[in-house]
Amino acid sequence: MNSNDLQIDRLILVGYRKNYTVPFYPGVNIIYGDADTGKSSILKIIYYLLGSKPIQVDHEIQSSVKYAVLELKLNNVRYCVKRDLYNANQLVEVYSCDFEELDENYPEKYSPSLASDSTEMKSLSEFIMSELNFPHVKLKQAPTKADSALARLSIRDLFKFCYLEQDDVGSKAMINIGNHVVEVRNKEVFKYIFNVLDTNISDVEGDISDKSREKQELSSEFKIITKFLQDTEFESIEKIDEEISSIEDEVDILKEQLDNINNRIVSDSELYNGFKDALDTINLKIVEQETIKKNSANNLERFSRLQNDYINDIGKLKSIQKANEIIGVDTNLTTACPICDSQMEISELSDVFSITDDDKVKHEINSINRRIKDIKHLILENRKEITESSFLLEKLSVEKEKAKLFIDQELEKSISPYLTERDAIVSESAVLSERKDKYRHILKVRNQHSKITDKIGKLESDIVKLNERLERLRKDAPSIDNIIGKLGNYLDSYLEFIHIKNKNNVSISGRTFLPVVRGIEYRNINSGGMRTIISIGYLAILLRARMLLDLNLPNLMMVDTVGKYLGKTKDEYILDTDNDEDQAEGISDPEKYANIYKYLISTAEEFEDKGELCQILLVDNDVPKEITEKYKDFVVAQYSSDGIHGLPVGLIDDWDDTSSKSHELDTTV
Amino acid sequence: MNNLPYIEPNRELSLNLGLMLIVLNYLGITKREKRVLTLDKIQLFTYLVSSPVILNRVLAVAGKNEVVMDENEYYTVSSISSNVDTLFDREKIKILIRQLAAKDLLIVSYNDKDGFLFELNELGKDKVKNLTDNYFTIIRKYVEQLVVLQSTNIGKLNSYISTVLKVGAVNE
Repeated sequence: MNSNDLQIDRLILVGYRKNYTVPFYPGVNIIYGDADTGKSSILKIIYYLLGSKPIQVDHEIQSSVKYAVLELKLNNVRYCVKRDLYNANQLVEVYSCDFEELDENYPEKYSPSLASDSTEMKSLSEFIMSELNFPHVKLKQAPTKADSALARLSIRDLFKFCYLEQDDVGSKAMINIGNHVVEVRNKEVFKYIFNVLDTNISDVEGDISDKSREKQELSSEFKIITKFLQDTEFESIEKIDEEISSIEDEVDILKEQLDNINNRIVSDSELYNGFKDALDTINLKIVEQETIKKNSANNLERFSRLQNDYINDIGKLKSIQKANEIIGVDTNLTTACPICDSQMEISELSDVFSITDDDKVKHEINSINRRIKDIKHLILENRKEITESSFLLEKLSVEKEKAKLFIDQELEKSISPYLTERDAIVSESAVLSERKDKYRHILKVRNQHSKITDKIGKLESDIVKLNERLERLRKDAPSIDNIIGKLGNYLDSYLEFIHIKNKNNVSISGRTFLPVVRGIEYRNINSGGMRTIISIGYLAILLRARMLLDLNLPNLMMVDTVGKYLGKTKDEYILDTDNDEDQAEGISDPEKYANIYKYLISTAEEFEDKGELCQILLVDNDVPKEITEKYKDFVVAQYSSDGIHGLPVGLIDDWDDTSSKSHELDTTV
Repeated sequence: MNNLPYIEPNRELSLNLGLMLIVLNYLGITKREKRVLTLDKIQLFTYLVSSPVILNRVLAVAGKNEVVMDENEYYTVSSISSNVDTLFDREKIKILIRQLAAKDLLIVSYNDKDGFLFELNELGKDKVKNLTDNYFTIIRKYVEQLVVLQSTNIGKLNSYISTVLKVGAVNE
């Protein structure tokens, strides 16, 4: 029935080190865990990407995240909303594609602020409202005055009835209660939501004419661009895809060829190896000869010296013969000491000196002469060997030079063609890469072009739906009393389900459009826990009303901290509740707490049964055990600051306290 | 008596006696008729004369002319090894002196400053005249070159030798 479905698929925080992603599904989505793990940030950033005021993010996110992207579907059309987290004034980029394809598409840009005329850039709020087919209206500041000033109704007005921030849950100041001016405006917004604004019908008519005009403009724009592309011979998208694929194939082939060459350079070198072997052999021979030469040289020296010793010995022996003759040698002598004239015996010779007779000496001389002959022979041989080795070494040296020359020549001959081939392939690859880039650019342009067709198609279907709505509005114009009555019934059933004590006099106030329980207005209820239950119920019944009526409200409900006032209450909120009242209500009864979850889950199931879409995002510190056990699948994220059970420590799961500057300039996205 | 089964020429008594005779003959008395040969100097000069390579180095260190030598005088195995026995073994010198004394070829004198001084008598000088072949010719050549160091005192001579020996293995 509704033509204004919003479905959130993924929240992606693009970071410096990695991306942080939270997936979402139709129905109930539970995010729970310890405090300070980033749970609230998730909802805050989702709302920010849908056009909220600027937000503050904690330092873990600041040092880890570059920007955020919300991947969603607006009436089944895929969009990605990308917004700078730190500079809220920057234009918001909306891509018509999946997150992975952001690179290949150009975005539409929208202004994040609400103040904009039709002459300036369209605002993000306008874009979303338009996609969801919510009528564009301006609300009177002072509704009772005919000439009151007007202010455009934005997505932020609507979100007051979809999103309860932590401060808002069970708060007396929820939905601007206490601020008279804004309360008045919010009542008008409430009427708008239920199409009971006085101007609703004319608004729808206005929208229909706006969209028709837009469609006309787009059609002519499309015609002009098509002609232009044709004139400039732009290829079709299919052709471009084909080209890109074929280029990629060519690149692969080239790469193969390159690998091939590298292999061939190594193996194609038989001749080279042959020369190398020859050179090795020559080197071995050289070493061999040098050793021989060295040994011979050593021998030569030894033997020459020995020969000289022998010659000297012969001289000495001959002298001995002469000396024996001249001096004469007696072993035993007695004489008078020339100084003191005492007698001396001189016979202590044999230890120190020898006396050899002539024959022996002659014999020795001959023997040595023979030895000298032998040595002369050895000396000659060694000289010959040295000469031979030197000669061989010279020859080998020449051969070595020749072999080296052959090797260098051969290397040059065999490698050069490979190198040339390789260079050719590398430059061809570069050319191909350039072409590929060009085609990708062309592809982007083409994608833009075809988007226009999509837009025109969507506008046509929007116009059809709006006409249907107009019909319905004209037929069964709803009355506010009717609506409040129905909502009051819903609230009653809800409180019944929860099992509160003393359920009576439950309604929606006709004056404030806010809940009344036991006859007491919401703002006057003292028990914080009771207020939590009622505030969550209020949003839930509005969501539920979508199944029955045409609503100008997103099918989204976000609650930050379901268990506020029900379980452990933060210090900052303690003063806002009356403990006694809480006790009296039996607020800490875990059954009531679990029942809230169960109600929401069964609401989602009803939507599903009817084939309609809704999304309920719940953030809590501690979910009732019964719920986590039975509905495990609804938990999309669970964080533990201590990382117990391997759970991520938070949304930023790679946060390291010691590295406070974790920036790395990532230029890839 | 000869107890060894082989001949070592350097051990032969006659050779050594001849050597000492030549040393005493040419180095015993200076031109000015001074006696200079103590036992120390005799030992030192005998050592030098038996080690031709050391001899030339000492002459060089002392700033004197070196002996002109043939290859077979310095290019030997024995010149590579530095055997300083002759320089320090007093006993050998004393035995040789006693032998020469016993053969009545010596004159010994004495003074307070130098102690005992040795020289040859006429008989000894005669013997030397006949020691003219082979080895002794070479020895003569060395001794004649040492005349310039004849009067140098023993301390200085010792220092020359230490310098030369310290330099390391003799290489020729």
